[in-house]
Amino acid sequence: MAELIRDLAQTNHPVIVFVHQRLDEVNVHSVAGAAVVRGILEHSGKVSAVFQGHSHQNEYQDINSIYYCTMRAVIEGRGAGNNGYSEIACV
Amino acid sequence: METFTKLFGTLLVFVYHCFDRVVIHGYLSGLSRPGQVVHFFRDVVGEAVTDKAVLSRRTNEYQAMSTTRTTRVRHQVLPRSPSQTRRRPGRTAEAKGRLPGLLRRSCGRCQHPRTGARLARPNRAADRQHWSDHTVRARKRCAQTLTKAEFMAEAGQTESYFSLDHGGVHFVVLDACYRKDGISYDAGKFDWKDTDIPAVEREWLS
Repeated sequence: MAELIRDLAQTNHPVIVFVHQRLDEVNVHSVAGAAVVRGILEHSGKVSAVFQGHSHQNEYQDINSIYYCTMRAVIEGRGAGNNGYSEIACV
Repeated sequence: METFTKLFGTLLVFVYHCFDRVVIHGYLSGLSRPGQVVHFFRDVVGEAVTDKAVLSRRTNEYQAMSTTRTTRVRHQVLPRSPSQTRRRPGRTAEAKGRLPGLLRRSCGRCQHPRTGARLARPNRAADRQHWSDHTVRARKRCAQTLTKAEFMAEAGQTESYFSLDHGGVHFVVLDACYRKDGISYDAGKFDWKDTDIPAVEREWLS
């Protein structure tokens, strides 16, 4: 059996996570086991932020020092005012 | 105009001419904001000065792209409206051999239940609407028709979740497109409210 890769355990860098569905709440837009996954992220002590979407509204939460940034879709409708993007400055 | 395209449609060729306001307003609305063209060439493309040579080069690239594409699809003239698609459902582009795979994933309702042959001309209004919807969905190759395996093959990936290091930061991309029963989303077999990250992925992550 192949050796199990533990991705968070093996890195020495700060970590940013991307996932389409939401990890920061419990409702229709949320991953069923979101709390378990949040526990893994928190336990590593390395995760700075999680970028997520699915609910089509910009939202933000800080849960146990991990920033959960919910982005609207890249294209929500016609015109320049209806797109969504963000820039991350890693300092 | 309809008669014109009927008579000469097969001879029409889409040719890209220049990087102009029609293209910007029609297809690249993000660039229509003040200063965005300069921002795009300077900060995104990395050109210090947005001069004629830079614009010409980009125009030539788009011309080559449109020429390649129109040659590949053999100057196909797409139907202009859903009503036109509905009128002759039996003669889809795929049936004429122009767009392979267009309706490959037609569902049971579009096919003969025993032989699997595609229905040539749905008679009932509801079937015609379904056919029209299905044709559009199939052409778009969206989540209703595309399998995860096909998507990953196209993207050149072996797993749907992965990580990479860039600029001193470890980036992790997770795939929560799994149902709560552990089945991976696939070609329409999913519900956007039913999402989970399976155990094997959680173990990889930890």
